[in-house]
Amino acid sequence: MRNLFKRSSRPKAVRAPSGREIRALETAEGVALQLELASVGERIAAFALDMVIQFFGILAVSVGVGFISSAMDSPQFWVIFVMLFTFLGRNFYFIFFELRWAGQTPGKRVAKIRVINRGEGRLTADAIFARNLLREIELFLPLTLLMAMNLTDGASGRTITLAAIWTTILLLFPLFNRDNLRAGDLIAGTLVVHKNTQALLADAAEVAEAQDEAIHFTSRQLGFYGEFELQKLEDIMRSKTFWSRDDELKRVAQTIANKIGWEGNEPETQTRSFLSAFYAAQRNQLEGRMLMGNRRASKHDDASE
Amino acid sequence: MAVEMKSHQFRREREDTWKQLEYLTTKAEKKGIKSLDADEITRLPQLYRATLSSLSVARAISLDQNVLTYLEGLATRAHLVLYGNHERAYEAFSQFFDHRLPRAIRAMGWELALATLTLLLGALAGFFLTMMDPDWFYAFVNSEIAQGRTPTTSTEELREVIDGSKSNGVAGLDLFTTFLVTHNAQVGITAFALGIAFGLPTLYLLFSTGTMLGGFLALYASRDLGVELGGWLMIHGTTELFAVIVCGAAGLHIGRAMVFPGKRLRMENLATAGRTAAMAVMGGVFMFVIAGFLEGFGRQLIIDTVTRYTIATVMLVLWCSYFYLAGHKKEDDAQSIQAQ
Repeated sequence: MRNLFKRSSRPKAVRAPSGREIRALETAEGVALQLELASVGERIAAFALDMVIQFFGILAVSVGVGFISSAMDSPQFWVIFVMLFTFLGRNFYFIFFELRWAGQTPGKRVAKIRVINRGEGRLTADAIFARNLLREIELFLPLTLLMAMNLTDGASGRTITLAAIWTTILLLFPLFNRDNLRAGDLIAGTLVVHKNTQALLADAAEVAEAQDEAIHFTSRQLGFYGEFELQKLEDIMRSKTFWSRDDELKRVAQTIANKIGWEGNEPETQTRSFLSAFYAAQRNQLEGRMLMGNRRASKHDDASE
Repeated sequence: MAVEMKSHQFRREREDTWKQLEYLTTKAEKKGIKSLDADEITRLPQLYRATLSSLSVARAISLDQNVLTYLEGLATRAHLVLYGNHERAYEAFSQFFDHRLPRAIRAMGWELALATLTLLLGALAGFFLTMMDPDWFYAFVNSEIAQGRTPTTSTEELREVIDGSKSNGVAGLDLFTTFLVTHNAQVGITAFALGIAFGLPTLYLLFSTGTMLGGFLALYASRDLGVELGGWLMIHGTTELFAVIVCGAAGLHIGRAMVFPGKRLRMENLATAGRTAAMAVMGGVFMFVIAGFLEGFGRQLIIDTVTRYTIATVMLVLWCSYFYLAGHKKEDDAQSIQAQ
């Protein structure tokens, strides 16, 4: 947090395999959990969806109550209800859901992001109030102002300019600090993070073991690649490509074979078995080094051995 | 592989624990932690700690990206379930009125004083300028709020509006009340949110509210209706202006934290101030609702000036004593220690 406005003086951001920046969440047990910062795109998507839901919600209720009040022959009832419902929607939609769904709204659920407390401690109601009440000036006020300006036919050019500058500053605010905080997050002490719901899949090495065991690699052949390449291979083996695109798979296998100096024709004839076996052998080798405190980040990492 | 990989063996031995934790966490996330039975509640922290230890082992021995990502996500979700907000809605509600709101208000003493002063200065300026030259009225009071009452209106018509003998041109009581509450609460929230621009727009908003009030008073005072207007305005006005001051003070509280961070880091300080201020604004919204009822109903039903002043005074005393006296007992209980 200390470095909010000092971009240049900080070290390069740590990123998760997903490409999102990582923030540490200290636990009482002493293990720092890795939180993945929600990207600006995810947040815009979530917000847009919430606004659409809000808009159609108010519209649907207005029409529905319109029928009821015309049946009751009481237009006043309709005006009161719509006025109240719009007010509640505008100010309490986000507050209501974030309180009930532990920092999520319908839009945030779809975008798989959630609000958490920055630093230690839980997300409290007052923080949810603070971050969402500020939406009033981040969006609604400039919007109303601009619409009012249009209606009164450019009563004051200066007001429009001011409103535009104001909105621009606040809208772009998340882009100019390292935690993508908007003004509301700033004064509420909150952070928006990706909600990681990764399922536990079958071990890629286990798949390999079930296959042909005749393929063996020498320790020299396993000395070329590092953890980065291993993870790339894991990604490929978990992707659809692995079971459908033969040509691409062969290309990968051939690249590996060339690099490690493999002489047989297994990359051609038993492509999948070859890749699986190589993955298992390579992982076993790198994990063995890891246990000795001797990690190899990528094929360019020549610092050790 | 003739010999099983360490990371593989590790996973096989602990997988059950993870799956159990995943099941309980998902259940708690979907239906709330209250949906877990006594046995599950006891197991949740145990499973969480076991999984956390799995995570730190996995980071040291495993290169299985899927397992690492899975554990990272699972541990975080379980952490947030365990250390999340377990307060029931009615508990939060009663705590809010019992001590959170009055404490938030008390934490903003200087801001309340400054907001009151600004409002008063605005009222004085509005009053004296309009007394000197009635044309100022148009600058201070916008036509929507004036509802046709201007320096050109006859004294009789001005009197009719406030003595309740004539409807004030609005369709009905409920509609009027709803409009007042939503409009005023929206302005209050805006006054708070504008505090982020170092509190300056908030000060302007308070001052202009003051000039509008002063302009009105001057108009009626020039027709010797000042005392009656006071009763008409103040029956809800003590509550409503107090709410304006509370929301304004909340905005100034943020502005102050932005300019003067104090001993703590600016970001930390701003977060604390923002939360306190937001709490006060929610109180302000509540006050606007009360004021709306007093204005929409009370004012139309009670037309005696003395009774109006009595209600105005009683409301002011009630608010002041509530904010000043409530919520002292638990000042140093677990709640405030947790908040640190």
